[in-house]
Amino acid sequence: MPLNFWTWLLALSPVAVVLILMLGLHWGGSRAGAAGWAAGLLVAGFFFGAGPRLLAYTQVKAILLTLDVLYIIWMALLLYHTANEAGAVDIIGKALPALTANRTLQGLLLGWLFASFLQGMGGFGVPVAVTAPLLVGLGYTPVQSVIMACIGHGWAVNFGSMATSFQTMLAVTGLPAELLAPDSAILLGASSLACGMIVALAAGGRKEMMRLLPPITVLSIVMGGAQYLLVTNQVYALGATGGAMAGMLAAGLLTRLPVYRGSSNLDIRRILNNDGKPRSLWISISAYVVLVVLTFALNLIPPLNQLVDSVQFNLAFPELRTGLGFSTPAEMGRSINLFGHPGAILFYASAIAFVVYRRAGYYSPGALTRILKKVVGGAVNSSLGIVAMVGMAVAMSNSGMTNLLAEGLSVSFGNTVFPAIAPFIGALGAFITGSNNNSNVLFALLQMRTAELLGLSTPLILGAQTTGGSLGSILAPAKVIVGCSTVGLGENESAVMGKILVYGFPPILMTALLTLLMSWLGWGR
Amino acid sequence: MTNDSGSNHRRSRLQKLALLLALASPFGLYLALQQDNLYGSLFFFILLAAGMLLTFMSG
Repeated sequence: MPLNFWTWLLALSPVAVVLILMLGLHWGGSRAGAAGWAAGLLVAGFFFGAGPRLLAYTQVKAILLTLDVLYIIWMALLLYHTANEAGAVDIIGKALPALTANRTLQGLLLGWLFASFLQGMGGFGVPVAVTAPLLVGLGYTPVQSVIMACIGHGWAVNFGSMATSFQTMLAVTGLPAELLAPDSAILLGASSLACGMIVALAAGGRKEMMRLLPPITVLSIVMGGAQYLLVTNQVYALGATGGAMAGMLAAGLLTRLPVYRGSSNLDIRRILNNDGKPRSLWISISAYVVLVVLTFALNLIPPLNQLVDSVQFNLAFPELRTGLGFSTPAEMGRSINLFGHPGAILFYASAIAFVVYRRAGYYSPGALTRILKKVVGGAVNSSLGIVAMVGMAVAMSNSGMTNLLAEGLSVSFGNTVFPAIAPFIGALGAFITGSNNNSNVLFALLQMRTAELLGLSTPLILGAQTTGGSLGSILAPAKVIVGCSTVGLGENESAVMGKILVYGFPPILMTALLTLLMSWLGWGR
Repeated sequence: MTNDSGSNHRRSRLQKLALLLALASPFGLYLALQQDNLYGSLFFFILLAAGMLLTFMSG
């Protein structure tokens, strides 16, 4: 298919259908995804020469990619609800601010560090839903609380939720994790500084932000550094969790300094008493400790690693060729490691944590049923959206549509400017679809092809895509609505939305400038 | 209130059915494609499309 304005628009049309339906008509992701899926298959079939056999195989390829991601999403929700049903999340969230008397630091501990930790463990709107009410409890206004809870965990989305979004980027591009992890971790680590500064600005104003710049800088280096070390040592699933935990430990040490400590107005004994139902902080965090221990053990101890990696599910696919001559070579589809997958590790941690909490008497009768119902209730709709959008994206890729889109972008922007555009493409995709994951499904392959055509570093451009997606996803109306509904702002979402966009723009701009600078310096080439 | 609850319940059931169809039918489709079974391929592709239609209706 020759590249011209009309063929480029035609190739863009399935993505445009999704974006217009979600942004213009406020349709949900699953409904818009299904419409995009139909548009993608029809355009591929009628205009790009994709035959029925090719389209059928693309849907089988897509389901392997989808299952790889859904395995994590469902099990991450299982672990979160296992801990939440025991009251553990509430205890951790209330105990953390007792470390310091400084109100802005308390806001940073909850809105930046704890929200990032929750993103690492659960994600999918959980950080906002949990931390926004806790921030209101500390005395922040509902609007401030939603802004802080949304912006604070932006840097943690990509390697959060057991690295679901990163896993999707690997699945869609077919590139190895070792190649993509370092640049993504550098850009996300740098954005953690911007997220921390924005939370401090929203919490205490410009003067407080400047006064707390030293601890914010130290904490962002600790979190970004820990995340970098984890993901460059193949512990991708714990990138954000490990980073946030390192940040919370460092914050514990920093708040022992007299200048930041003061005398806290929160009594830890009263918090753990939990209205006459005493709780242990150690038992409360045991679910997350078990997860960390299991993840490290199964990734880093060779005999255990070989044992859990022994059962893989995979399918072989033949070469696929369109009527217009675009060819996708024969390949093995996405391999799913049934017992060593991050989703499996989450399941083991959930099962162990459930036994621990039950033996400690933290559950009321019927807890297991409630946990399972909440998991199903929270996961089905988003799973449908992912199934549809991945189906559309693989059909577009195998019929040459993504390639044509990339050619058009490379001709329009050139390699000098494109590095600054890449994070905004990622952010736009996440803002509209409500998820970093969906943005990577829609745009990762496009960004990869454009980088190849322009002779740019592919890991850098994909790092910019997923960092932009990470920072854009926290501004998505769906997440803001979740935050508003938990702090009684159910009818004032538009007022919050405007402010969120203002506060959320600087971290994306900073990522764009950093990507541009790294590209100009010849990074990765 | 009762109508809302009934419609949410129906929507939730439709979504579960849609997810089941969308996740299961591609495996049947793969087997049919591997055996060059035209009618089998068509059948499972229609199931997949039905899953997407239900996704659209219940989304």
